[in-house]
Amino acid sequence: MTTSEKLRDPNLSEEEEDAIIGAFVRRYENERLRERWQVKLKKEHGVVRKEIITTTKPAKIRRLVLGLITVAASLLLLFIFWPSLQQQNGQELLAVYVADISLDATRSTNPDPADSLRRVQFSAFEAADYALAQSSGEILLQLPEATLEDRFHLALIQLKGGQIDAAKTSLQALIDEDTLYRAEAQFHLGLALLLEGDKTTSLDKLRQIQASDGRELYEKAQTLLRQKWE
Amino acid sequence: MLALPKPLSSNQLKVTPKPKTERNFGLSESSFQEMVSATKDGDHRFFERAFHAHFEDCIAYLRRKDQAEQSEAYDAVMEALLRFRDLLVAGKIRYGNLRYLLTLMARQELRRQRKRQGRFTTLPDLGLDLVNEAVELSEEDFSLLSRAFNSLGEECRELLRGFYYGKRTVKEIAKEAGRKAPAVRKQKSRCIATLRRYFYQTS
Repeated sequence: MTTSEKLRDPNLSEEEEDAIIGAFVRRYENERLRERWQVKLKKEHGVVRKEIITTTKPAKIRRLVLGLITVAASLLLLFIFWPSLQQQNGQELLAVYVADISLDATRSTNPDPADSLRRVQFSAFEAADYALAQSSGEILLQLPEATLEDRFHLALIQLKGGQIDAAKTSLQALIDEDTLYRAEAQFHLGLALLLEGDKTTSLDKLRQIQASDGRELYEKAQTLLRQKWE
Repeated sequence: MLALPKPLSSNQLKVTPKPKTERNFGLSESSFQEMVSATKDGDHRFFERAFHAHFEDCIAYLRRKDQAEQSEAYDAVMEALLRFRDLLVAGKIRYGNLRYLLTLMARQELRRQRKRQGRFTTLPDLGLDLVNEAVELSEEDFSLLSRAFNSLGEECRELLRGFYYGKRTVKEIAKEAGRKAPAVRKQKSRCIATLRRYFYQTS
């Protein structure tokens, strides 16, 4: 009997039904996850699946080589002049990065106190009511269900709301405890220090971010390091 | 729990053992537990944060060790990571040496890929008892079931996702929803009956 025929059979056993539906749901969700991961890997880590290039005709190869030489020459010129092009006012870039700070929305619809507080916090943040977002976050951290992510979110809210000292303390704790948020905390601590005007310490923190911490984070840190700071 | 092939001891290799967090993708044991819990709840962000940073390293390893092309290494690592997630939620992975396990699974996937393509491979069968479905769905059945699944209400999809993909029991799902287990069990049966009905209608 095919799977299709089995699903049409009113006498299908619960065990067999479970096996079929389970296999389907797992495959369905894995396909969704695979697509999501392909996008995330490309965006955040620059990892893509590269197809093998097969044969090309001689004339195409000549055109390809000529094209490559042109691109290489342009890149060489750009590389020579790139540093001066890149050195714009760092304050403008800092403002952009701070404006871009966002929270990951909670997916849960649970009625429990922790998730209710997270929803309040997220809505307040989106409405730029950082005082309410911060107080929700502080209450949330008193609950046993509070997570590392909640601590990181509170730090972001403090930073965005201009509570720089509080943000620095929260972020430093996430770094010192070597948590999953260490690298992101390091980056945002760098932003906090720049906002305070402590350029030297900030750039030192940003230099500690490695490519293995995530390509997007690393590139943002590198971009800040290349800026002109008065 | 998975029975791994025994890695060589440090005496045999004459190397200094790596610190525990390094063997576990930078995770402490408590972070690992937090990640498992979040993954079972359908929140994959912790998992992604922990493992995606090492995706490229894993590809490089397969290319070096097994002379894999980039595309086949990418596919093998992707597949291994999906299966790793399945094992994690099924409670079949313990904190200890996650890096070693994932690399083995990636090599195993590469071997499976090459065999499926009918290519000769000298890659050993590493004997890992990976998650293999007892039921193989044809492309047509999968497509029809997908359409039927998408027609279900969000509550039904969440329930079936939590039960079959998150490997949560009816009792756990009921407790979280503040409901009684028999009621959730009944709802699950109704959702499956509806899914099957939509499947007849679309096929």
